[in-house]
Amino acid sequence: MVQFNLKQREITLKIVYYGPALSGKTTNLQVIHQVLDPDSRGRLMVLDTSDDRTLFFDLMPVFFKTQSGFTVKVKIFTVPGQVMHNSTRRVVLQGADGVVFTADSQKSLSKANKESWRDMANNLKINGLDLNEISMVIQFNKRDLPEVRSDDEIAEVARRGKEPVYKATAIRGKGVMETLEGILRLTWRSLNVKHNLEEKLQVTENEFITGVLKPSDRVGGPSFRQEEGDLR
Amino acid sequence: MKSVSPPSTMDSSVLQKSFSLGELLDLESFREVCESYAGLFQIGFKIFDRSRELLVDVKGSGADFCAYLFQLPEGKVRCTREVSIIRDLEISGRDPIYYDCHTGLRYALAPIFHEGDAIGRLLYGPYLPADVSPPDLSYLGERFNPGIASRLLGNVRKVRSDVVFKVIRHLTQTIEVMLFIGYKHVLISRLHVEAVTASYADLQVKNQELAESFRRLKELDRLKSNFLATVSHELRTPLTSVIGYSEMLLERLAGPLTDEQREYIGTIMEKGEQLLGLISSILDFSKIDTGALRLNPTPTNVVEVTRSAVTTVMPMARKLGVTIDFAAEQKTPIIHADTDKIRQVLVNILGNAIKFNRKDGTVFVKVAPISRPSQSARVGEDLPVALIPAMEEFVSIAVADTGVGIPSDKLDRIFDSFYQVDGSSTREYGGTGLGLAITRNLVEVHGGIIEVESKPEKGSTFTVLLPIEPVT
Repeated sequence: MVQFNLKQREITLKIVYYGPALSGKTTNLQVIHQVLDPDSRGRLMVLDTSDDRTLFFDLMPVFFKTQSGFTVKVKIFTVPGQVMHNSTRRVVLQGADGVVFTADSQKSLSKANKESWRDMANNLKINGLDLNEISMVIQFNKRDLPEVRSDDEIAEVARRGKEPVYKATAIRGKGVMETLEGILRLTWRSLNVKHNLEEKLQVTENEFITGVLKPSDRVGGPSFRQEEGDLR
Repeated sequence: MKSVSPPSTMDSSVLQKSFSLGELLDLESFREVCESYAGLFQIGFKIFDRSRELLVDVKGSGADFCAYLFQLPEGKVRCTREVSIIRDLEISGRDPIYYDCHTGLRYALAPIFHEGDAIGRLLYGPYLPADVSPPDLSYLGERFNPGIASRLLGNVRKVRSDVVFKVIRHLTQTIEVMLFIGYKHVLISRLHVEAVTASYADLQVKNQELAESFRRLKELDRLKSNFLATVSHELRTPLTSVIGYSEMLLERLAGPLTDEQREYIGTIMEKGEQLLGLISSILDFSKIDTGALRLNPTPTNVVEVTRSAVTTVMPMARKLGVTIDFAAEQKTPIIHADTDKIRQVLVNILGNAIKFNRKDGTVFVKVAPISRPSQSARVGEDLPVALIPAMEEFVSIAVADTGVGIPSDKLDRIFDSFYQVDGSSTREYGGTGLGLAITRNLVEVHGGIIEVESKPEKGSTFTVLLPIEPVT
């Protein structure tokens, strides 16, 4: 739940990457960490086990000061995907303002996607959050692998569902920042309707997006392109 | 069943909390690092948290000079005022700001960031700037001794601005890394507790559901046993009449019978008695199941009871071509038990040994006293090991057959009620599946043990161990 600290002129939003095990949630966060300006993001906290599976969660804060003097913070979390960590997922999901559901594009993992979605719906409910109200985008990751759901199939899914759908190959940085921008815009709009943020904070949606997504100016950094045929 | 939802985790999680500088650092260890740093550059510094509380104060080469000035009345006034001014100076951005005090020494003030927040500040100094000449301090009054002051000032570290800038950047970065590590550990440990608490709450809900389900099943089981007892009783009454009247007909109380009539009535009586046996088993089982079974213990000669049971099953053995080999040790002691129930147990086991034997097979029956190490895990025993005798004395009745045997994966289940090793509708052997369940219960209410060993196609051995010490 968005936190306001009017005394310190500060607002904190929470974005959570949810999805089945090994669908690339941590990879998304690693790319975001690499792309964003080091002065406007914190260190990437990765809490994984020795086999590179997320044990608790990953966390990276992003922050900027608005022209009106407010500090805007966005805390980006990932949940552990393995089934056994359900209670940790529930704790991490608590108070989320926006959720990116990172699905695995491989056909063989459709069932895992569905199970993770149901698990998320249940955990949202237990946390007092409404699946139909929370800001949500779906990312189909691992587009570079063979035996994945076809572009047509994903376009059809996107057409039928209400959640915006993004395609990504997070390991190559493709589609990651677009997905993040998508969820940030959706979350901002939703919070603006509820809390009248633009008037309270004197911040426009574009200032918010530009502030959070300020790229690193390091020369020779990786180039991150949008996945072709993005569905927005 | 009423479904129970897991509890909500709406109470604020550690992930939503912000921490102060002091909460994220182990202050004792942190002070050691700071002292080491101050020693390296010979410049002291102070660290304050967001609310300006002093967390660390380490002295450097300027300490003696400042202490000398501080003991002068005018020096004390000026130093106190300036320290509070410097501490509260506004800093914007990440770069340090500088302040020259009345003595000509310089301080630098830099923010300490954590997750984009300035959660503390570093007050670095005093040091002697390389590019500044010390001012005249004669305004400090008559007690001021320029010679002492000059000597002590000579000890103060003289340093260039660019070096100070680099040292401060390095020090704040080190502190920020320590804060990050501290934050990581706080999150891991507290989130772990939160996750375990949430799992515990989930398990509690599941346990509650299981307990409720168990209670309902027990109630259903009790109803089932009551039903069995009632039905068995109601079936037995008319069946007794069927058998009784058949017997009267056979005894020609209603007149002479042809051979054919005698044969038919004989069959009615035989099948009626078989049915009565089955119904009695069900009744016995339901009595045991509902705890209604009462023992009538008397001094029992197990050898004689076994011999009598062998006699009972002998006609059945002859019919199936099975030989019974009976052996008993004469020293077998008399035990305290319900003789009828022990006979029922033995008849049942012997009956099975004959029924599941091969044609022209043998049943070996052996009665003997044995002693063996105590098993403290015996049913109903919760005594400490020290109070259990090392050896226990039993009368053992072993019944071995040379039949089909029991597959090893089914051995654990043969004492379960209604269980049949061959549960198919085309099975070779009849029965209710209650015989061994009743047998085990009857043995256990005597404080005894029933064990089975089996080798498929070689045969099975059932051993009943009855305690020589009477059960209290």
